[in-house]
Amino acid sequence: MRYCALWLLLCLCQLTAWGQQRPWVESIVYDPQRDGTFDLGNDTQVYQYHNDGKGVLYRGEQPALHQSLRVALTGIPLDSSFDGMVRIRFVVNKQGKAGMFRPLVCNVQGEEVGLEPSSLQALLQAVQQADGWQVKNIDGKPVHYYQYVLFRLHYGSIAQILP
Amino acid sequence: MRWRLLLLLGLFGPVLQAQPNCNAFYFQGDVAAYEACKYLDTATYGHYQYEEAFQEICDKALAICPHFAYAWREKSTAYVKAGNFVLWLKYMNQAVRFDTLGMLPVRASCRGKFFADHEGAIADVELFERMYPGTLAMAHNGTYSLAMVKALSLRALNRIPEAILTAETYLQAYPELPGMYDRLHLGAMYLQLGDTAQAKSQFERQWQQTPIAEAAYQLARLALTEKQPVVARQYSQQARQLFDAEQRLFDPYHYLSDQLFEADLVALEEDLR
Repeated sequence: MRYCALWLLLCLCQLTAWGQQRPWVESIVYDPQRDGTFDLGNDTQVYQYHNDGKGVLYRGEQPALHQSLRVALTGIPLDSSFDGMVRIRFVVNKQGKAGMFRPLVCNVQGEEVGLEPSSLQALLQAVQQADGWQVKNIDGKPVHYYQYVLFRLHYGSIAQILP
Repeated sequence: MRWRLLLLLGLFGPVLQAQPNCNAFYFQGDVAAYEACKYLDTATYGHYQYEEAFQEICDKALAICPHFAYAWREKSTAYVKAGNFVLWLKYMNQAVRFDTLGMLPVRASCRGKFFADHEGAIADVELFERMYPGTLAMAHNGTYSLAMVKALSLRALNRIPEAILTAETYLQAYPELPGMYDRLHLGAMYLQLGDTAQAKSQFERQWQQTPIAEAAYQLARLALTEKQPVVARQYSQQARQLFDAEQRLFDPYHYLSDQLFEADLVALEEDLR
């Protein structure tokens, strides 16, 4: 009986914790049409990449990430009239798989603008192919987290990649 | 040591950005800002910067006082961390409009680091220099002086001689106030120009001032090119120890310029075998 009460109490605690997950800005909502089989399991809580204080976690760190992105984009002509940034934000799940990619394109004045669809597609594919994201833990348990890659494009060339 | 701290506080006090002291607004006679500040202070307790509710609290504070720059900056914070240039700039511009002295250095330094907007960062630093000549200001997180922010952005645009001149001018004008990694970056800039003598001198100064893995690594690499394997091995071992002890460049949001990575260190160790 006592264990039952304890179990009930634990369940209540979990429910309270669930209730405390208030909506965040910049959250990405799963869309089966765009996101296919990408899986968050039963846990929809997604943390931010910086919540563990450990910095960017990619196997082989920045050299490997940039190498992967640049190789994927080699020989692909990018929009030669565009001067601005393309941020591709996504979720890395508890298994270290990335999905739910969402682009944001803007110019250096901070206005949302368009980018040649073939360029955007190439950038999206390059980010989707980078598969070295590492699992992040909060309080010793793996969590889903938001991460992003930002391309600074300058008239057809990639001036810089972040992170 | 104490006078140095006092000097630092005196110089940077007006442009260091932390939570504001609400009473200061009251004593300045700005009752609206005081009310907004008090409201924000209590209402945001327990809320996370990414929460929509947090944004709404900031909006309410701004309804009390539209010129309360700190609330504009608070609205921008989640967006800078999420890499959203559009909304970050929108709110940060308002913060700068109402507190240019305090917020322009923040906008300048975040542009380069979070968005690779180096032209914008340089323009912001130059605007600050024109508006407040002779005023020292720091980057958003206190790692770099605004002069070094400019130098790093110039370098990112491959304008290396200008970057060196900017860093050198700052370090000569304020020899008592070098940033924690200024000499490392300056040395790396000299190295890019092929000036190994100047590079070495800067890395050695970095090593003496703040011994981090990156400084030992660079000194090992230089010793290796100078055909001094014993010295190179010594520095390489020190680089490894410091790297493993996490005595190295680190940032919770991004990789940094001149940051040493495991792959670089392994390559050095193999070259020394």
